[in-house]
Amino acid sequence: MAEPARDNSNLAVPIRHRLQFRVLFLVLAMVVVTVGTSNWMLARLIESQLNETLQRETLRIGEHLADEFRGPLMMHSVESIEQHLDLVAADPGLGFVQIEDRAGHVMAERINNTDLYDHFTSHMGEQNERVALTQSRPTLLGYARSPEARVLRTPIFSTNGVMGAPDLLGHVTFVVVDPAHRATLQKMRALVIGVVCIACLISVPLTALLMRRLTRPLRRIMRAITMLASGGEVPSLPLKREDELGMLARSVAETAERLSRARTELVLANASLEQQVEDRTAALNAANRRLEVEIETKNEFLRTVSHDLNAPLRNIAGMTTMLRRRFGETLPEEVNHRLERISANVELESAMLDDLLELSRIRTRPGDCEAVDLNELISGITQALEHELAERGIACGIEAPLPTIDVERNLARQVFLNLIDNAAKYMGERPTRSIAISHKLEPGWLKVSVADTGPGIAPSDQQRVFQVFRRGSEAGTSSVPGRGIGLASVRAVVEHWGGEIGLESEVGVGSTFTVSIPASRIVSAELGSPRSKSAA
Amino acid sequence: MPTRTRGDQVSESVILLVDDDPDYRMLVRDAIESLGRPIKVFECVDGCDGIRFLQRAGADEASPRPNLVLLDLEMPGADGHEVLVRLRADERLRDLPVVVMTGLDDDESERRAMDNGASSYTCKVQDTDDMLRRIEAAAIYWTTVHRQLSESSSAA
Repeated sequence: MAEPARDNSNLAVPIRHRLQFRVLFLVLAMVVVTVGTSNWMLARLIESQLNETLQRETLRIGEHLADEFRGPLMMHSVESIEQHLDLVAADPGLGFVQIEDRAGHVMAERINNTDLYDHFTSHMGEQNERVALTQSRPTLLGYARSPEARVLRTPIFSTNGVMGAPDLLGHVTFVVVDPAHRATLQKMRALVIGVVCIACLISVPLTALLMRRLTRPLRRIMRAITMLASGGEVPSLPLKREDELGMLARSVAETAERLSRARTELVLANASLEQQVEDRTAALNAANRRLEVEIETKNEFLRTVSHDLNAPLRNIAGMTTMLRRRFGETLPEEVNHRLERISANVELESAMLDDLLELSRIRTRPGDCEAVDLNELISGITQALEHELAERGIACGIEAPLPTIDVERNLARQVFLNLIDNAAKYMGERPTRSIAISHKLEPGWLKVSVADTGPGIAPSDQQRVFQVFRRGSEAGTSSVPGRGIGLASVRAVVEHWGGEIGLESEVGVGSTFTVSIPASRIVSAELGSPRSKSAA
Repeated sequence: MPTRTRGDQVSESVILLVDDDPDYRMLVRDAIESLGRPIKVFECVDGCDGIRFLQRAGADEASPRPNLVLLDLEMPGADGHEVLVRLRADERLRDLPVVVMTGLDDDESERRAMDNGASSYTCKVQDTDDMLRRIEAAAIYWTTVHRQLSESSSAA
């Protein structure tokens, strides 16, 4: 299976860090240490056995020599000693033989191996020292030059002494050389090294083979996990193995399957979600388009109706006027009066149509928004109404400085002019006559209230007053001129701003109209903002 | 006071009224006739009729050349804008005074009418006296003042 180069590079571990090589080093070290140590210990064991045997042999020879020379020494026969020495020295296993008298003087000697002898004499010293070395038992001296040689100094005693105790007659000192001993030791060492080397040679390929069997499936699993993470196709895994690696592989395969299932589900869910979003957006767009067309159609309808309704009215009014102008003098008074009434009704109807047209304009042809300082706007309105307010004795004022909002100036003026003018018009002969404009900021809303101390509006009329051409039914209402368009246009404007108009009223106490404006239209809530160009 | 041409001949002024509303036409005719001036009013019932009259086409071969056209905008067939365009494209009718009288009081309609070559734009306002005064004033201005001015300048 061809795999991306990226994954191979990911799987490349530096050689010294590879598991295979670490284990190989460990195994080699263990083999060297264990095999080396055991062989070395075995060699030491054999060596000590050999040494012991050599020592025993040496002591035996010592006893034998002591027996050999006891007679001649007791007889003080130098010749006999020499003769015996010749016999003894014929044995090549003896490096040299020395016979001392009891005072430590060398009486006779035979030398077969001069090296050993020189080494011995250079260490042995003179008579006095030899006397000091005198022992009652055979003593091995450390003056042998090589491990296969042993130097033994054996005292020679008489068989029965004068005082009943054996007398020291002298010493025999000799060196025994066992060439086989040395060869054996050398063989032993060679064997130790050889065994270690063979063990190493065998263990290296064996370990490598074993590790290969372990790391190959491990690498396959690693590759699989890498592919899993990157979302690629998962390569085959050593699923059939019974060991831990097999278990690992099976669990990775299971994870891969679950992941792939989950991924498929996710893709499907995403697709369906996208489809849903698309459908909804399309539906929403269609609804929006329908709504836009509907609004446009409705506005167009309203506009057309207003125009078309106006044309015949205009004709009626025109002809009535013409009649009165041309024939007024010849017509009876009664007819003239009726013509007048026709004109008045037509004018009213016409004015109402204009109002309707104006209302439809608020919704269809809004002007440009600008920063409108409500303080300035309302001051302008109260100044315009000053004469009327003063005449009726109404106090009108702003409680706290109002914010500046981003709206159409003419519409804002229309809203507050209507509210204040209404409050003034319907005030009547109340004992306290005041109009208070206040505001408060609520989360998301600016609420501006126009509160009056007028007669109030009955609960049954409170929704009616916002409908076009509908007015309150209170007794005092009919005396106030108006067609019932003001509050309807206020509501149209406020709703056009995205807000709402509220009314709280109690008969005999007063009414409070509250204009809620979305807080997003607040330009600044700072007090005393600089005066902008006034439209008032 | 009758208008005079060269040679001191009293000549009648002619106003063409193009409007699809017969009652309105009657009203305008009444208003103009009530002025008591020598003004003859011709009526056309829609834009096509008006164009035919002005270009003296077909049955209107012998139609007089008006001194003023009072033109409505909203009409079936060719509307007021089309009449204006066709008029201004005609060499002979290019300088004819045309006063638009319409129920449309939006800026867009007015701008379009003036662009198309209207001499003046008057709304059919709801106040009857006001409307009649406007009609009368327009009739007097275009049939006397303007006519005298243009005739004297062409004579010079």
